[in-house]
Amino acid sequence: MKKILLCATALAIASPVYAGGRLDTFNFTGESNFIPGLEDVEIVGIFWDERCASVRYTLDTILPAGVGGPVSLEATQDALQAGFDSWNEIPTSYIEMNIDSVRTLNNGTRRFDFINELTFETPPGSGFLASSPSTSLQEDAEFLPGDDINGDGIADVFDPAVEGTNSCFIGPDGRTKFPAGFYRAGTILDNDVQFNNRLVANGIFWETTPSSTIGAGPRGTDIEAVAVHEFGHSHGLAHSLINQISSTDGSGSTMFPFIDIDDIGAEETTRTLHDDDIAWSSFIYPEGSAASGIAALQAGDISFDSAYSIIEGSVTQNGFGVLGANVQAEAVNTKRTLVSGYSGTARAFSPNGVSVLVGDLTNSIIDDRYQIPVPRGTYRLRLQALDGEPAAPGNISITAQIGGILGQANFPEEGRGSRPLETDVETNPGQSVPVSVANGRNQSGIDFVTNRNNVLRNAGPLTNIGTGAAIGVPDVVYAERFSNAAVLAQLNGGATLTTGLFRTGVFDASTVGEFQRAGLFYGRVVAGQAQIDLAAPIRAEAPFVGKDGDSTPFFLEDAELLSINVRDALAADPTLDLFLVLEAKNDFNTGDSGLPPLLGLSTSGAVGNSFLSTAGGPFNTFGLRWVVEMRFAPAE
Amino acid sequence: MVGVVGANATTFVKLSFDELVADSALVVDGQVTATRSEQTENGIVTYATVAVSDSVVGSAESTLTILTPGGTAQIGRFKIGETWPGAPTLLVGERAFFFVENSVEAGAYQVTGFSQGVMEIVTTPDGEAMVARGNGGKPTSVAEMKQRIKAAKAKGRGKPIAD
Repeated sequence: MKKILLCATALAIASPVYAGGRLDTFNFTGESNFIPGLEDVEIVGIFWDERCASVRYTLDTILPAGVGGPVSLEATQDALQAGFDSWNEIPTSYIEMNIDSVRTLNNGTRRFDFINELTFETPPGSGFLASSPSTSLQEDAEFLPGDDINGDGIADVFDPAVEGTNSCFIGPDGRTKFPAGFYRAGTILDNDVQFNNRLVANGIFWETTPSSTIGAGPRGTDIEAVAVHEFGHSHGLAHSLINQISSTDGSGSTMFPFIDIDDIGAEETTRTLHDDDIAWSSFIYPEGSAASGIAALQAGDISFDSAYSIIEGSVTQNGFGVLGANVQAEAVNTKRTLVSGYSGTARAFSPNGVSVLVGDLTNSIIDDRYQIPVPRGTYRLRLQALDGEPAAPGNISITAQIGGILGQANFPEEGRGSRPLETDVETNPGQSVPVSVANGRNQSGIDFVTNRNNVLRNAGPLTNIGTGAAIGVPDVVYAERFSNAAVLAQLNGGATLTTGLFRTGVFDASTVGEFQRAGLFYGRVVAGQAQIDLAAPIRAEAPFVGKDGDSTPFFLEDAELLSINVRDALAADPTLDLFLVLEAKNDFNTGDSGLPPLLGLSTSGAVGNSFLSTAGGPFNTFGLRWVVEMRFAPAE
Repeated sequence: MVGVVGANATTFVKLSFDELVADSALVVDGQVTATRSEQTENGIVTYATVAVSDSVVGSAESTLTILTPGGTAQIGRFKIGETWPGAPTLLVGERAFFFVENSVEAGAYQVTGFSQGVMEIVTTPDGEAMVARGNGGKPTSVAEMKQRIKAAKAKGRGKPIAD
């Protein structure tokens, strides 16, 4: 038992190095070892120091703008405290946050004043629904008794020997007081959560019970759902990329950056923490990682080490570590995506101790590793880029943003193959070798190398999701043609056809975009109509579960043999083309909108390749282009 | 087409590409050349100077000032930073398409839709400048992206069926 606790302590100390699922900030570390005349700036996670991990908040008395008038202060406080309690109830995480007082602050919108504030007051021009800015240290610091950290003339640091405690407390002036001592860069000193009343001008109001709004009219936004999300940021958590937990559960991580405020289901599930949220809070604040104090085990607690293990490895591209690659762990037994994290630790540079500049690939990457905390079990790991779908690097962290600036936010999705097969050219990118972990034991060496792809795509940029022609009619089948010549050029050049890619989406975030089938077919275009024998797929996957707001891979089995057969067939008959087909379900799942899962469209691109069949009719060309791609592993 | 709007929003409203363009006073291809932070009554803000190489929408001067929340401040012997989840942290050397709207401060713009309004431009090993996102996950040449932005501006704030 003691050994496990020590391990957890080591994790807690080491964890700020990795970006993981964490918000981050700069750590100015002194003269650069890489660029003369500049200062090195490491990117580190933000966190509450263990001495101050019982975080007290003050609720400002400004009331939320509700549909029929202001939401009452009591209802607001209840909703916000419920949001805190969702996090407080995690038995493996020691941090706790509570509303300590309710009063009229009259301090403007927010400020670095050592009052952790919950407010419905925001500056003019605020376009966000809510935000959770944290003020933190950007270099290691020694706090001395009497220090005035924010320069307002008020002492913020006390002598633990005098006060008889080594924990933060709220002083008589209502401000947090810190015990003297050493604090690491990234330590959060103040956090304020702002909920925006100004969006009333856009028809968005606050409410305490989720409601649905389709079409015109005021749009209610659930205070508690948004609060739970924002309080995750208050912990120091970054946005998660999990927006669809499984093929039967369309809900996502509470820390997914967007919520569908018109979907009751989405708001309700955002109120409830997902495994991913729980794991990251526990990773940063591991219960049982100290012998005394808030991190020590108490009644009802579960030690982090008894509940979690760490899967870790590297992500590389062209020999360089990748900053901000997203690694997701799906439990083999339940097929639920439990936890995701991001790779890499970044370095930047400063000429003057304030502004920060980006280096290059050779000096910006401190570490290529990722770590994700998972419960004991067996997992399949997937890798995807922060390519904007469903979220972009700037939406995640500074580390990911630097990766984006360095051109590391664009590579194809893949599973984690076995070690000899995990290379930059994979003919079976969908393969994901199971990884088993036992509690308290790390599983390391789970490394990824990002893949290279050749891409065939007829469509231009995505402009729309779905078409009215496919709504309300039965037996909708989308087909995208890839010409004989284009496919043969790839295959004759030694490339291997590995993947079809459909850009899918749903209207209601809590639903799953399930299609009847995805398939690869031979076919011809005759007199403007596609002739496809739907009874004779070359490869098919049924049902086919589409992602929400992202491209969904249709990995093709036995790709090497498939490619040989396809090459021979196309070479033998120049009139034959290859089609990627997506069949909608007639009995689709639906949320509040009542609308089906749909396929992405583009208003530009090569014409005459996108076909639509409805109600058993012929495949006629469609005016817009389906956003569908065919992907090949290039010749090595 | 049906006029149903996908309604994704939380910390900020998720904008479609058309909305992003329509809501922006300027869209420029530019590079951050300097940043400075100030501690204000309501927290730290950062002013980024962007050298404009092309004004795709609107008429920008040769340099542009973009105001972002958060940044770095030296207060006494403490170096303090402010982190805003989802807000752009503009870094010197960063080249991007910047979609900006007027801020509350005269002469300074703010990024439209928080980080949604910054689309990084990267140079490939082949030397081609590409935009890695904002295009259905498809890397796009700078020239193609400019055409797309102009087309969206001409179209106006027409929403797609969903996000």
